[in-house]
Amino acid sequence: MAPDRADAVIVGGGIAGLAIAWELRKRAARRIVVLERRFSGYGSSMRNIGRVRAMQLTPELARIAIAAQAKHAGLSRELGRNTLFWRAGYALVLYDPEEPEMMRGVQRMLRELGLKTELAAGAETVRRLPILEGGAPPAGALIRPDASVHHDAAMFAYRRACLAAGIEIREGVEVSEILTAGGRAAGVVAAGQEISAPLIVNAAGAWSGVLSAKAGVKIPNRPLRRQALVTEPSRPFMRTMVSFYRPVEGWFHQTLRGEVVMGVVPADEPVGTDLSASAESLGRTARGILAKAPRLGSLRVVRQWAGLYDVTPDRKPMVGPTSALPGFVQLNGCNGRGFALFPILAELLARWIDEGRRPDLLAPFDAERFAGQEQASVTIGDYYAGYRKALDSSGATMER
Amino acid sequence: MAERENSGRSLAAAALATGKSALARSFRLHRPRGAFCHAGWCQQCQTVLPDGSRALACQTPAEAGNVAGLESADPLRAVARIAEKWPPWFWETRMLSPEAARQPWLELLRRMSAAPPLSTSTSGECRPWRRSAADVLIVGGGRAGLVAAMSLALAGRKVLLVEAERLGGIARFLPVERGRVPELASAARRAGAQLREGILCLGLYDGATRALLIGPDGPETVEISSLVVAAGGYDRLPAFRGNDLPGIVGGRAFLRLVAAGALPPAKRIGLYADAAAAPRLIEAARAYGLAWAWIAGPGALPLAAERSHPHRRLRRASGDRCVREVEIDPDLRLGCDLLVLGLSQPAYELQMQAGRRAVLSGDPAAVRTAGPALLPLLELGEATGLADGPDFVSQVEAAVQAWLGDPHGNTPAPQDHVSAEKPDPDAFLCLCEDVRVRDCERAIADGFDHVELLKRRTGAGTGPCQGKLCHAELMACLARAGRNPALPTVRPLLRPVRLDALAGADDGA
Repeated sequence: MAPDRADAVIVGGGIAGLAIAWELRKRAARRIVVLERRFSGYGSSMRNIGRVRAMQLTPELARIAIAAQAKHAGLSRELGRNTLFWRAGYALVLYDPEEPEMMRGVQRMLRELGLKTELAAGAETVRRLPILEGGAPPAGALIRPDASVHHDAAMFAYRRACLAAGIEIREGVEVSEILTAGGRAAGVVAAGQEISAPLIVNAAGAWSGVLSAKAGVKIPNRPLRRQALVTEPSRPFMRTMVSFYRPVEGWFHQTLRGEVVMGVVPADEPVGTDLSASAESLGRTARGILAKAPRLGSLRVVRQWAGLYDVTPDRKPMVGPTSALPGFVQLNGCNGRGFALFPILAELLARWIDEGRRPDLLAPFDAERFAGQEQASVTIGDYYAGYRKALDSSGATMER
Repeated sequence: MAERENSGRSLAAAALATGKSALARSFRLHRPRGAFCHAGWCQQCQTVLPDGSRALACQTPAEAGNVAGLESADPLRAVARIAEKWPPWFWETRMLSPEAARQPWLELLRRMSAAPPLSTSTSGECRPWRRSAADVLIVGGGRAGLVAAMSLALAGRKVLLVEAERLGGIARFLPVERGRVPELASAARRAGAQLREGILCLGLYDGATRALLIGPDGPETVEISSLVVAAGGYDRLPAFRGNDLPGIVGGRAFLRLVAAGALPPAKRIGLYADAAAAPRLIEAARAYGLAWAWIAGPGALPLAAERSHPHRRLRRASGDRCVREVEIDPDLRLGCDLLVLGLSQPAYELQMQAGRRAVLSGDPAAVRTAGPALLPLLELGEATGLADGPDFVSQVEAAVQAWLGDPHGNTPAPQDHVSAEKPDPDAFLCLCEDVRVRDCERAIADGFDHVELLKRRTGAGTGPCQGKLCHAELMACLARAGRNPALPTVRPLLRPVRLDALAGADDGA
């Protein structure tokens, strides 16, 4: 059989893969093949909760996240299908007495980037978020009308738009080999069949480190499990999505369908692609969330699941070509922000590929930034401490 | 007349006794819903009690509620009627413009939910997590579980048997068999098995090396080296038009209701049952002095049965807010105020979590499991599809002995079978999320033909019952379309559990 040919092969059929396929196709008539090991969205795209938060804590992430939210806001129109983009609001609730002070610096940084946030005091926080009544008293909250999309709706919108644009999505196909010729990427072997292509995009999410190794390109990405649970639906009683970092990292919100989704994050999760939920996470989540919002206690949990973060040492995405293997392009490493960021990252990457010039917004995420370095160890640890370090080192204006 | 089961009458049973079968509403389309299972798993009868708490009417003592206050008039039903014509993903190509109206649209959409409000009652007790270990965990304390507990304990195994309700399982509601339960239980105890009542098994974890239990003493993880599934079966709800009407109950639900004296003799009761389930339902009705308005079934029926229509298919049920009439082929209309469906879906979830794969078997098809499991696994009794009969206990005994000889040997062969019969497209496939057969067919035709995509596209199987009512129909729908009839991942929890019941301290975590 003659080898299959394409202009671009995308490995990974999640939101990253479908978004880059869509953006590349939008720019030029190309034959694009998306290869997905299981089914569209299997890895993380259909396991996440679709938060699209612009209010990030470091300037590099905030810059791209603001653009990402604008991209999501227009995505329904672009794809011709509703992604259920919803400005539900977002509150980063603070419990440590020194957190509000630290957030003042973040607030100023965000304001400089054109993002208005509110820093509510403790009592005001509970007034704005009555679900926190009776729980641990907050020290304050950073609040803004951030948005969410329905993850399945957004995935299906991309999927159908891609299919309608003639992009081929092959599901149940695993890539076993990356082919090279003359020091360049030349194609892949998938399910025993060769597909030659001058451009290969690594959009394999939590498996991107493994895939990259197949191409002989070392990247420091590691998969880390995250767990969530969902309750039965209720009539709407809260709108704002809540996150907190102290004393443990956790989050919860009520979805459009009325269910409450929540998770509490352990600092010591081992690296790996284990996708099974644990009994411990049930207890940890129940304890962590009810300490903050005890009124949720009567809701019944119907299901729990796990997903994977594709984590990098500096918690920033990996985007762009690799000099070790020209033609092999990274689009991964989103550290749990992929659903929000990939649509805009894909748009910018497609421009980079076609125009040969790196868009400024992508500079902090250049996939070459770890090249030649000793492999940095990646642990999830205390996310917040990670931010704090990043904040200090980035020279973001901090009032002390 | 046989003696009544004296476990007290539920709010749902009390309502039925007064002729009220609509107890709740579906979340999405505001359709009136009644209790189908009367056993706490179908989740269709959730109601708000006078104290502001939410509870399943079938799991609430009659005294705790107020029959008259159940399911009042619903002004939003009229609006939901418009949405009935649309698939669950109706918003996909609607609500796109004008763009400024999209946020108010979403607000309106979420406020359309018929789900009950967040409970105003205070939080319940939370007990600490505990840990234990057992050689064999037996899930289900009916006759099969008790027989297995005795045999395995006698063989020297450390046996823990957990029963979600009370020992005896469905036999508690069988006029003759219930008499055997105390004897089986004491034999198992004498042999050294630990028998615990009121304990739910919520799922398997860590590669099926641990099980999570919850009961009055709180959550508990048990390290296990082998598993016996003797959890009986669910009542199977096949896809026919009008299958979500209140007044339709499962066969096991009927056994419970009749034993609790919840069925007034004046009620017209129709029975649609397969050949395996019909005899014990007919027997129970006779023992408690109830007469059937008619009996029908897809297969043979007992000869002596009165007004019997064997080898007929149920086409549709109709009525306003409650079933009043059914139509069986060809064109025969039969009246009833209660429709009993004697069809079984054997328990399958723990087997799936233990690594087996799903196959379809029987007509109407039920989910069964096949292939190797991650740990020595034995399914017993009604969980194997075994019907009641004089040999029930001896068959269970033989299966346990065979398993003792070859603990990896209990791997049933696949028995894929799908009826060519096409269900009515208007029939409900998933009651929790109001998904109809036609929605699934259309999603498959639109390319959502992997079961995980189909589940996410339609919502089928994602509601509070977690697919117990719809998994078989979901698989059958894929099979009819020529696609791989697989099940989505069967995730824990097997039953909904209050968040505060899980929030106790965990020293080991």
